[in-house]
Amino acid sequence: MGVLRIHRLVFLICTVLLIAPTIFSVFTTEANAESRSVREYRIKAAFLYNFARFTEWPADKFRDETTPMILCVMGVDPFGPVLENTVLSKKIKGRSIIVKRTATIDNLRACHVLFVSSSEWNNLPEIVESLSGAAVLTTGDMDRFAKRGGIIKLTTKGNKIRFEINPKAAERAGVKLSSYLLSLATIITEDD
Amino acid sequence: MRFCSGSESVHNAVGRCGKLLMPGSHTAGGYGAARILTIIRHVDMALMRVAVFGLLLLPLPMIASAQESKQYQEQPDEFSELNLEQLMEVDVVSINVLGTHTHLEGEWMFAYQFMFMRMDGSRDGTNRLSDSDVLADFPVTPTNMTMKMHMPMVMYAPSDDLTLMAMLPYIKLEMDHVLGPLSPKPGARFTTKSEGFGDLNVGALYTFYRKNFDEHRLIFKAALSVPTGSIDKKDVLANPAQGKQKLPYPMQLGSGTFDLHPAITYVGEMGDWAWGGEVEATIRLGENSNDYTLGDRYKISGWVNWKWTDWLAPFVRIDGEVWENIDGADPDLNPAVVPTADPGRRAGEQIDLLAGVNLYALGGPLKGQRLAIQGRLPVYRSLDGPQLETDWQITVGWQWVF
Repeated sequence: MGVLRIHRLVFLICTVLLIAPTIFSVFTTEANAESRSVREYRIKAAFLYNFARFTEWPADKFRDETTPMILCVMGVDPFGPVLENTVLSKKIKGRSIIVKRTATIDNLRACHVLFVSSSEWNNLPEIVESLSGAAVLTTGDMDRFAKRGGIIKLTTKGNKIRFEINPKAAERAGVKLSSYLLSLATIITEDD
Repeated sequence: MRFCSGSESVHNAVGRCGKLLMPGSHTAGGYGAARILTIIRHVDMALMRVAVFGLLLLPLPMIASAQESKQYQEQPDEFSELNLEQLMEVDVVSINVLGTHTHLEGEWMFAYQFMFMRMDGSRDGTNRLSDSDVLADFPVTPTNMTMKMHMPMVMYAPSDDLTLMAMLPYIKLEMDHVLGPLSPKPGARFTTKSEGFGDLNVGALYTFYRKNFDEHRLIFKAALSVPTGSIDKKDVLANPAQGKQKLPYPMQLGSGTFDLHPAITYVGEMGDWAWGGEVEATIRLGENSNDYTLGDRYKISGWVNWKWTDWLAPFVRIDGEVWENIDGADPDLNPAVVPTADPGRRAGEQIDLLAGVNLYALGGPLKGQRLAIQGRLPVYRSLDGPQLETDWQITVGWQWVF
């Protein structure tokens, strides 16, 4: 009977050790338990960079030729360091790009591109209203973002990223989107 | 692609399409203490050997967990070099020839596998037996058996973490026999056949843990097999004058009981490599209408895949499995005539080596479809015999995700 206990114990130990390192990391590191992977946000970060390439801002949005492009994230940041890596060494129309994160509406008018996290679902109407005429390209991936007044909504369809554009929201904000960008998008009206 | 691969009988061969590790035991009424102890001793000896091979798998998750992902250190991201149209063609979830991705919400998958298994000769313990050895104690002995199994499967992912699955096998069995000096017709040979649908398997896979952006995952599998396969197949035996008789246990198409198939699977992927390990069980619930319950099964697996090219990934795998004897007995079978009719000669333990290749269509009309070919060879077998032993098995599978 003692031998039987040893056999069972060895089997149990081997089985637990097979998966123990993975289980152990649950309690020691912050695991990404979300179903959306960072790969998705790496791709979306690249989309944000490209949206900025095909957007025009009014001249007074930049103080001078050296004023950088400011890319902001409001709310719970789904990108992590991906956004910085995406714009590293990149320029848009000769301007460098800096990334800022903010939790309040007060500083948003200084942004050129703003990604609104889905954590700000309830605040979106206030955000949109506060940025009227501020020449901020608002983007996001929350449900019905474009229909609720955001300019560009990123979506996932069939394992690919797509985007919707609300032209009226862009007009209200005071930014001009290129026809190329509009041709690739699904056009959304706020009456849909 | 994971295969539904077989062992010594059909109801054991279909038991791995969706499993959940749920501790439990089947109804075991009528056991004496001595018999329970014998079974425990038998299972433990086998598990000990399986555990030794499990030790070989220990370094894999440890090494993987110890490494930091270097993707997100200060380097320009590769996607930033793509234009908008190129970005719109990038897969959110990297689907590649390694096949380790879980299904995305709303995704369907159809799969079909064909398995051929050959069993030849008998074994008792680790000793190979000749037909004459078996016929010293039995009037009839099986000499060889072939199994052909068609396994269509459908899967659907209602969410990124949950995938539902269903599989219904179609099975063709054929077993050759020879009569010995204890029978009325020594030297006579006959063949029995059975064919039909096996037990329906329904289940779910749930990814309950992810680390480092899906470089490591733990998947909980739960499946239930429904007794749709026949346990009353008949065929003409040695004496045609007697008409069709009930076939022994290995020739039946189902278990006759609802069975649980629990498992926990670890999957890791980094660069061109993928690896994993799995612990699974088959737990029989209750007794079937022929007054018996097939033995429970326990298995440990480990595998390594390598992405040789974007469309070709070879893999190797090792399986260790233990299965128990039948509890009870079919009253229509006489265990003294042929070993396959003896419920006490169905248990065993086995270690198999598997190798194969995954092929993945990157483009063209077959884009996204996957083909896999796998061969299995036993490297260790110990059977409660005399019992037919598996010689080799080959499986070919096709998978289409849309």
